[in-house]
Amino acid sequence: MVPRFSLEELATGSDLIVHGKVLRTWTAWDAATQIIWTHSEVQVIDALKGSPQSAVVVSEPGGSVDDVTMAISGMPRYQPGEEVVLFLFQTPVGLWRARGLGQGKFLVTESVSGVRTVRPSPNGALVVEPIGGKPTGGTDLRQLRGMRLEDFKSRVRAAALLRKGTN
Amino acid sequence: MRPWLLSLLCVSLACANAQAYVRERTDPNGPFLFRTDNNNIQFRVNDQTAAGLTNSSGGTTITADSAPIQALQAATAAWSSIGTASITFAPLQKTSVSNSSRDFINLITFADTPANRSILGDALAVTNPVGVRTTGEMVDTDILFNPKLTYSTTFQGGTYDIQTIATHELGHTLGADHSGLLGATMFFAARAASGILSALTSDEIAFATKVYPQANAAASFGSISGKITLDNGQSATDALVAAVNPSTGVAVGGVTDASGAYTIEMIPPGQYFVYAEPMDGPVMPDQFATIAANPNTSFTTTFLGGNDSPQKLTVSAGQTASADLTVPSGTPAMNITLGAAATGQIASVNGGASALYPGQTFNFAIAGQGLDDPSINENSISFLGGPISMQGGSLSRSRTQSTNTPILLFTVNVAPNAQPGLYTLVIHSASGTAVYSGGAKILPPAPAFSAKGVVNGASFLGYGVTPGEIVSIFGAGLGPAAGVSGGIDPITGGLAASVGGVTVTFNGVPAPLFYASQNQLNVQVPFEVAGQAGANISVRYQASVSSPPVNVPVTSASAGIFQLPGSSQGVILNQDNTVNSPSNPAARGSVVQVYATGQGAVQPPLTTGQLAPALGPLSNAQQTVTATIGGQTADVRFAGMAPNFVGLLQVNVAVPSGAPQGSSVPIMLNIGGALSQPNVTLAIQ
Repeated sequence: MVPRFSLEELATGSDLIVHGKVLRTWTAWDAATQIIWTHSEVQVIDALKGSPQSAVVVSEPGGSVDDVTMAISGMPRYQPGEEVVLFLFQTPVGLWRARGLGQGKFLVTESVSGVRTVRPSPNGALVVEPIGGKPTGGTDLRQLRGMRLEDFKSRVRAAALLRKGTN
Repeated sequence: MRPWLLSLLCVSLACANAQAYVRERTDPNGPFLFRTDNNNIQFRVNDQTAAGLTNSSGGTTITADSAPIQALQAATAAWSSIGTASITFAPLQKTSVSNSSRDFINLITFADTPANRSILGDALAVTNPVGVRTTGEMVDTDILFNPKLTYSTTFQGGTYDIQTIATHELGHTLGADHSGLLGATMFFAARAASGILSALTSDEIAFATKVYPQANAAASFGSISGKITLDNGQSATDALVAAVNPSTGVAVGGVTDASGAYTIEMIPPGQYFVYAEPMDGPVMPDQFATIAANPNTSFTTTFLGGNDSPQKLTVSAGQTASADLTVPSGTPAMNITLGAAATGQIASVNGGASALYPGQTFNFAIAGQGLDDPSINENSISFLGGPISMQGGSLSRSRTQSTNTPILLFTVNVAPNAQPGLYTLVIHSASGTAVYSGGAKILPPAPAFSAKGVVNGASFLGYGVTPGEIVSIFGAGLGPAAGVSGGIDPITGGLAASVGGVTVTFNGVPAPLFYASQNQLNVQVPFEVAGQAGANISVRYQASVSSPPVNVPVTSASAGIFQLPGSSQGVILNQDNTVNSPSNPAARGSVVQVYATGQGAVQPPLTTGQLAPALGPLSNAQQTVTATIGGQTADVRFAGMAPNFVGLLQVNVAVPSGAPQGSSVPIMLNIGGALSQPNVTLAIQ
C-alpha cells in the first residue's frame, strides 16, 4: 500500500536519481531490520540527481535465504541486465530503496529501430489517493510510458530542481 | 430472556499461476504460502497502538478520535466470518514487541522505529510473512503500518482507514496475493478515507475456501477451466480471467499460466460470463508477488461466446465447466484504467472500484486510452445486465486535466434489490471491447437507526442514554445476519468493543458490545459520556458507517429491569440464589436480587467495559435507588454493580412482610427519579 506519486514528487523526494544497468542481485538477512532483503547492484551510467559512486546497491525487503522465505507483495524486482532509471531514497538503516515502491523504477527499452524509451514499472502496492486533501497535481507517471529516454532524463533533471514540497 | 442476556448472566512466475484469485508463493516456482494455525491465529498488537499515537517527529499516526484496536478486531472478524472456510483469528493481544522479526509472534505495529521505517519506505502498510521455503508454511506474519502517515477509523479526509488496510493485509498473512478484480479486498488499489476494501468479496471467499476449507464446503462449489489463445496461435500468458454472475454479484478472478491455461475454483453454482483481458493496466504483473513481468498483452478483451453476444456458462456444484477462448491479437484499442463514482459531482478519477448502494443513483466516470472513440454511445456501456443501469441521456465526455486522458461521464441507477458484490463495466465500440473488471462494488446498505431506536436494554423503553447503561440499538444493516455474542477482550480484560465486525462509538469512544446482529445491537454506553449533553452514536459494520451519527441526549439515570422473554417475570434471584418464578416464589421478608441497568455513575468508579469486581469494595450506584413491591415501599439493601458482569445493576430488595402474595406481583425501581417499566413482576409466596 502506497500513495501515488507524480513525477515531480518522485524527483523532489529522492536523494538520488540514477540511470543505470542492473549487474546482479542477491538476498541476505539484515541485522538492523531482522528481515531478508533482496539487493541489486546497479552500475551508474548517468546521475540525474546526487553524486553516486560508480555503482549503487538498491535494496528491497523480501526474498529467500536458505530455507526461509519472505514473500512481500508489491516490492519492485530487478533483473540482471535491466536498464533502469531509479528514484532512490536512503532508509534510516542506510539502505537505498526506490521511492513509492515500484513507482521509483522506470525500465529503459529499445525498439527495433533503436529508439530508447522509458516505461514506468507499476508497483504491486495498494495505491491510495487521498480525497478531501490537497490536490497533488504533477505529472502522472503512466503518461510517461514511451517517452524517449533523453527527453525523460531532461524532464527529470528539471523536476529535481523543484523545491521539495511538504508531502 | 434476550439473546445477549444469556451470555451476560452466564457469562509467481508466469508458468505456474493458474489459480482463481492469486496465491502467494515462496518463490516464483515455489510452493504456495499457507498457515497451519488457521483455526486459531493469534496476532499481537504493539502496545503503543492507541488513539492519538504520534510519531518521532510529533506527527499524528493515529487520530485522537479513532478506535484502532476495534478496527483491527473488526478486520480479523471479516476473515473469521467466512462460513465456508476454517479461519479463526483469536482475540487480539498486546505485546511490547515493536519491530518485525523472525520471533514467531504475529505482530501488528504502528511503532516508529528505524527498522520499520526502512522496511516500509513510502508504503502505507507492509505484510512480512516468514515462510518455510520448501513447504510454504508461514511461521510468522507481521503487519507494519507506516508511522509517518496518518490513520483513522473515521474516514477523515487525507487519512487512511485502519480497518480497510488491516483487512487487506490480513489476506496476505493467509497467503493471498493481490487480486485482478478492482473491488476485491485484495486488489492493489483503493482510495483513502474509504472503507470499500473492508467488505470481503467472492474472490476472497473463494481463496479462503480453497486454502482453508470447512468440511464438505468445497463440494458446494464448481470450477471453470480453460485456455486462452491468441488468434495468431500465441498463448495468452499472464492474462486476467474472470467469471462474473451479474445476478448475484459473484465475481472470481484468476491469472493464466505460461500456456494460457487457467482454472477458477470455488465458484458458487450459477450462470457466469467469462472473459479474458490483457494485464496491461490498471492491473500489472509487478502488483503480484510472484508473477513475472512479461505478460502477453497484445490482444483484445474477449468474452466467451464473442463480444457481440457473450454467452453465460453454467457452473454446477462439484463440476468443472470448460471455457476456452480465442482472442483477437493486436494492441487493444481501449483500456479503462481509472474510475470513480459519487452521488454528487465527481472531482477526480483514480484507480480501484467505486462503492455503490442499492436503490441509489450515482454519477460514474471512467478514464483510459481509447475512450474518445466517437462510436461509443450509451448503448455501448453496460454492466452485463446486472442491477446497475445507465440513465438515458446522461453520457458526456471530458478529459483529465493533467494527462488529457479521455473520460466518459454518465449516471447509473442501482436497483433497490441489488445484491451486494462486484459488477463489471463493459464498453463495446467499433474499435473493440474493454472492461473495468469488478469496478463497481455494491455494498450492503449502511447501518441505519434512529434516536428512538436507542433504548434501555432491559425495558426496551426510554429516550437518551445513561453512562454505563446497557442499551439496545434497533435498526437495519447493523451487523451480521447471524447474531454474534460478545466476549472478553484480552487486551483490556473487559468486554470487547468489536463483535462480528461491528464497532459502535459514543462521541468517538468505543462501546463494549454484548451482542450484534443485523437488526439489534446490545452495548454498554461508555462512562465517558458523563457530563455531556448528548452523545453522537456511530455504528460501523464492514465497509460502511452509519451516516450521519445519531445524536441522543445523555441522562444521569435510566431504569430498566431485565425480564424473561415473553413474560412479565423479572430476572430476579431469591435469597437462596435460585431463580424467582411462579414455581419458586420468594418468601415475604426475604431479600431478592433484582437485575437492572441504567444506574449511571458508580463509586468506586469502573472503566467502560470493565467487569465489576467480585473481591474488594463493590461499586455502588451514586443515584438513590428505591423500590416498591406490590405497591409497597421495599427496603433496598444494596444497589451496585453485579460482580463479574458489565453494566449490570444488582438491587437487593427486602420483600415487605405485608407484600401481596401471588405469581405476578408488580415490582418497580426508582433510580434517581427514573422509574422502571411498569409491567415487571415477581412471585411471592
